[in-house]
Amino acid sequence: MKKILAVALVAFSLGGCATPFGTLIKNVETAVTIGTASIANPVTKTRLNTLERGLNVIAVGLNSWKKDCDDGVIPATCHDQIAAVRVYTLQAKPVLVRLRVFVKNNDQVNAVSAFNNIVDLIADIKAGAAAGGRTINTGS
Amino acid sequence: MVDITAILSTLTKGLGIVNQIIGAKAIPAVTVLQNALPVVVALTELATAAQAGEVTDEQLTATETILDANLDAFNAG
Repeated sequence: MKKILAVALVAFSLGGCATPFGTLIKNVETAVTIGTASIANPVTKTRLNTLERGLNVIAVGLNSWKKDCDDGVIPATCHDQIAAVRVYTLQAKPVLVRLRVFVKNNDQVNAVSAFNNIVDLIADIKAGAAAGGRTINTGS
Repeated sequence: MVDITAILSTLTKGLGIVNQIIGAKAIPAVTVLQNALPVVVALTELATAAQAGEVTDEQLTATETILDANLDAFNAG
């Protein structure tokens, strides 16, 4: 009886945190691909370039998704799903502009913060696209 | 960009001088090595960074231009 109760509790708790767990996995995946920044691991121009190239791969994938949606190749619900992802890509643009200035001025405190902000947004973008049935990776 | 060839050339000359000093027994070899160790560590880090390759401003600008175009296209709706 105790065993059954324990299994039910575990199943319930796993089911209850499925979404946060999925987000955590996405964040870890992005952090491993692009890395996160810290004062000990500063944002150099090379790291900025790596981040931007990764984000560009995502942007290309998003535009392909958008084209399929506009062409009616995929179900019409894609318009809402794309709009949900666009919330994050619209946030990314101004952060990216600030990040570039911080890196060029070697303002590492703000650069690290902006860099990690973009990494989080990339995870949100990928998770949003995945929720809409589109798998988008940052590449290598 | 770091000139790795120049660094290696300077390092080789420096090691030659160190070898002469040790050979002449002017300074104990252990003392020389203790002083040289931080330099070797720094040079190793420098060489690693140089081999990894730093992106040029032109390359970065090119990446940014492409990314801006793709991101703006998606954001345009």
